[in-house]
Amino acid sequence: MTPFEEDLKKALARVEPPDGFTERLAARIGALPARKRRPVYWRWAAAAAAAAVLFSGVSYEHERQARGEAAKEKLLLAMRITSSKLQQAQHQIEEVESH
Amino acid sequence: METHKAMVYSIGWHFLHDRQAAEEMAQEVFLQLHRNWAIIQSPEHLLFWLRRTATHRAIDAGRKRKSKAEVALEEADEPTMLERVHDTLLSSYLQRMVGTLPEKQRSAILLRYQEDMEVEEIAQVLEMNASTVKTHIARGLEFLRGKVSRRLRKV
Repeated sequence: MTPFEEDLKKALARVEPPDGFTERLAARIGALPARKRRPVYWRWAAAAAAAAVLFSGVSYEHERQARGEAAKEKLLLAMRITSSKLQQAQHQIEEVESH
Repeated sequence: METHKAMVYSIGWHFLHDRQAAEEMAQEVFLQLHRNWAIIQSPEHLLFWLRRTATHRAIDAGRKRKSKAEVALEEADEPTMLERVHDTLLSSYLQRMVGTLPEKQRSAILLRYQEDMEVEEIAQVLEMNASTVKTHIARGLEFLRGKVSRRLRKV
């Protein structure tokens, strides 16, 4: 650093702000309106989304079970019909053979 | 805040040469800090943030003042005869001359000689490359040296 730069450094030394600076600043900060906490809509939205997912999952499971039950009933009915038809056919064969 | 208030205020004072304007600027910087406290990551980041914000606010305040009362550089830089009598201290003269530098040169000179910052650090604060900062500092020094040597010849 040259002597001129040293002089410049001295000339540009930091200076303290006037008395009362901190108090005036504190008063301005104190006068700032308190920040309102914004309602947390996202929490409600997340809860609603979770409930919707849960509800749709349960509904799907119910529907799946109902479809399964219906299919089972149909299968049993078909088996019963088939069984009775087979019995009828068996009776007819036995009648023909006895004559 | 106590640690940094002299730094912030001094940037305003050396830039604007007006105590009231410097205090207003410094208070605005700390109010902005209060509002943005969450973004400060470390003491080093705080120092960088304060230097950058103070410098940019000082530039803005300087522009507002300039637009209110446009003063040509060469008109403002020479002290009056009466002032010259009282202005015996080189420091005081240099402070006033720094206040007449174009804003980019003034910012670079202030950060270099008030804050003792390296060229690369100044480049980050002023958002310009290091070679531009060096040019601003060199031109500012050349102007100030010229003013001081002319003044010494006159005395």
